Amino acid sequence: MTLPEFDLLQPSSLGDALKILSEVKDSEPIAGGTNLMVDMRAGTHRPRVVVDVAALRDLHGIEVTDTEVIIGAATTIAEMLESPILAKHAAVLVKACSSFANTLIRNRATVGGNLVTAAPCSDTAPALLTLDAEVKLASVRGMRRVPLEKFLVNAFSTLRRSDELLVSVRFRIPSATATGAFRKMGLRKVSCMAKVDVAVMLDGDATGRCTSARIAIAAASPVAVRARAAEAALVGKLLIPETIAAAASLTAKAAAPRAGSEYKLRVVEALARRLLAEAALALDRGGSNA
Amino acid sequence: MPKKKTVLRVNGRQHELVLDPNVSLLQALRDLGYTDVKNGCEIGECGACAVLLDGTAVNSCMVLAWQANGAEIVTNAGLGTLDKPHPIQEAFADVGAVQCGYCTPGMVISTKALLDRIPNPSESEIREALSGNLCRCTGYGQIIEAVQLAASRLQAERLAVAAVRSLQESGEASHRGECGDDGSRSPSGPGAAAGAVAGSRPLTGENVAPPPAALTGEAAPRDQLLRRGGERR
Repeated sequence: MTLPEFDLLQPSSLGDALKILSEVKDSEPIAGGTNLMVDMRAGTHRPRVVVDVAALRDLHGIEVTDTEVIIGAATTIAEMLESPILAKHAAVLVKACSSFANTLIRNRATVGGNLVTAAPCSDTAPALLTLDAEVKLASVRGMRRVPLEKFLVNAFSTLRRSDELLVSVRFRIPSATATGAFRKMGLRKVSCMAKVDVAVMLDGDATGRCTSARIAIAAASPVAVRARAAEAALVGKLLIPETIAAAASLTAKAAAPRAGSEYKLRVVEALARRLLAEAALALDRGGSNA
Repeated sequence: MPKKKTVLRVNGRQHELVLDPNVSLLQALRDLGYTDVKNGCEIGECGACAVLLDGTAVNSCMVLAWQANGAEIVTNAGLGTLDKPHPIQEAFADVGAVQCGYCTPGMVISTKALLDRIPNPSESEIREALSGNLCRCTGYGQIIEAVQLAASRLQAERLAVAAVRSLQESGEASHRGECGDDGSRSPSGPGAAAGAVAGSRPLTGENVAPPPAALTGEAAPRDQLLRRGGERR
């Protein structure tokens, strides 16, 4: 099937790309193309000008500073899967990447694309939400940082303005004891969209009390969200089964599945219970930086 | 919609093209005659259009041709020919991992990408690597088997090449200045046999294949394909 007509611009620097996005009406960035190519063929997305940002050096690479991990927006899911930095500091994100679509798609799809698309079933979003990530948006007007939780507004809707480019996503290095877990439920093991994603990140002190908790879900609400009430129910408590069960039940309350998909409420609760129990057990064993 | 000059380097051949911006890499390759790159779903689900783009297996339907400008592209036909198939292709034929054959070029490409990275993959690593390639005929059993067979044959080939190299080196050490041609013909094994045909080219499976039949005007040697199928049964 032929793609609809568009003009393709290939800026050689981030500055040029931002200039195009600000000056050219109806322009849309493309990197891996795994969403945009499908949408353009289907006719659901018809940009007049496509701006190829895949090769922009500024958008690539995974770095770690003293306090933060920074992932360039055009970093592919496959690159994240193989990153020693992420393996060390963000196993929850690596786990999400390992369940992302399939090998061929992972080689093209980028983390920035996954976040900007803001599909309800994004796999990287819930993992990054438990890392309390923020995104950096650039435009000719300057840079701004937005917490990912705020950035994701609704299904396929974000705070990105049309002249802005998501350049990186960053999060603070989790404490040495913090432990995360991620689970995706789909129709198949691979190459499927999530029916439910749940990600958790727990930290605790030497007495076994929870000092911090983050829980995020995807595909069970219009866009990936944190389960704040469930998190609050864990902090300061001993991570015993009753507390975990109560938090899991509150996690399901953060879900808002579409009519006909009410079963997802039960899946969210079950997955949350299991993942929280897994993370609590790992914490008990000293934590794994996941 | 201005056209642009784009250079596609496919299977070692350079094509200078003037293309519209909305041409996918898949479409560009097929229009060039690389019809071993199959057009399946065009939504990145089936993997029939998989090619190696600078060594990475990707769905060519998801890539704009302009995005592949200057990159090294390898298709299934670039790995081997009917006369001299790549060990991966040979393994697919020998095991019977091919029924309708539509998914095979993509499967072979994903297998190549896997074995370049992990020479001795486990079954789960194989399944993972082929997760983007759908087959509606075989049920995958024989495909997994073919990848395992290819891995062991490539391993044998590497050992043979290493043996040849050490023979050559010891030969060069004793006959400095002489041509060490003998060494490349001596040992047995699949790698050695291919080496004799390939002459001085390295036995990495990366040898450049001739352009597809559509470009050279040669008829595809279908009879050979049929004979190969017949031999198996």
